Amino acid sequence: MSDLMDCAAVQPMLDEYAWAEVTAAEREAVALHLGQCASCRQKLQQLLALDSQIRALPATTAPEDFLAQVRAKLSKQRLAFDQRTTAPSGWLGDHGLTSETDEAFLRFGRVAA
Amino acid sequence: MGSERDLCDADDEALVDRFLGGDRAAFDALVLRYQDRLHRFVAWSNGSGEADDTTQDVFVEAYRSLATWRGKSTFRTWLYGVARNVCRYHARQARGRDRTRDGSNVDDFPDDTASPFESVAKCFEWADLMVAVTRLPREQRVTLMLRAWEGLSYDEIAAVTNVPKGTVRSRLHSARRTLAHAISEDTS
Repeated sequence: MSDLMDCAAVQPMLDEYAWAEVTAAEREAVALHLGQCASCRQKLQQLLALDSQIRALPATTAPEDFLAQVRAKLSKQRLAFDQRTTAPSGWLGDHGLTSETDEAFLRFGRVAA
Repeated sequence: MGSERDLCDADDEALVDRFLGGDRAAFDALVLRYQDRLHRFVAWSNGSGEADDTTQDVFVEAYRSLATWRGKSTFRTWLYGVARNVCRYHARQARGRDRTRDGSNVDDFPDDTASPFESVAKCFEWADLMVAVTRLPREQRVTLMLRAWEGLSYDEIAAVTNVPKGTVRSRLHSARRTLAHAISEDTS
């Protein structure tokens, strides 16, 4: 990365720059360009404003008795504490899976990648 | 068994270890720690105001499957992966199918189903952005939520959604472009 970056090179990187997903060298190069380019600064400000609006969208919260609801569902499904999966079950192992999430979810059905 | 204070102070991985070692209260602590964040994730993922039942299923599945988590990812990443899959399962159940006639995945298309969020959104100033988010293709919406709200890194999102990091990047870019366009239309 160097001071040779122009708008065409910088603008595709602004998403990741805004979310700190660039390398130190990329960050330095983009910052250098932003210091000299009002147009790219404006685009970055628009991105940051959008992110701020997204984060401000309303959130739902779990009901106060949520833990009790989870316990009741575990009980209803007869998932007593000593009936947890203590190791990958035979049929899980038979699938030869490597993804932890997939293993955890087989009973809900495999999902398309 | 630890005290309530110990449970609050323990990190996720320590709580999982305690749960697997027989401390049921450690699982309760994980539920309490993540219930609101997962409830929000589920509600927005499904584009539905009703998320209680699905969020309960996420924790039931986690309870059942925690022993299969081998620590390759953080517990948080693993849990969101479970949540994402439970949401997809419920969405498929609701729609009665998960593939279009040509075989392409419905998750790749804009979500045109009427959302309870939409009717609520119309009453508020953030209505257009809210509606635009609910209409994003599901995988773009999930990716955006994991980044903007949950603060997951691109690598963590790739692990949760089981896609390459480049796909995470393109989904986020597409989502932002769509939302920026929706807002600019509103203000123009």
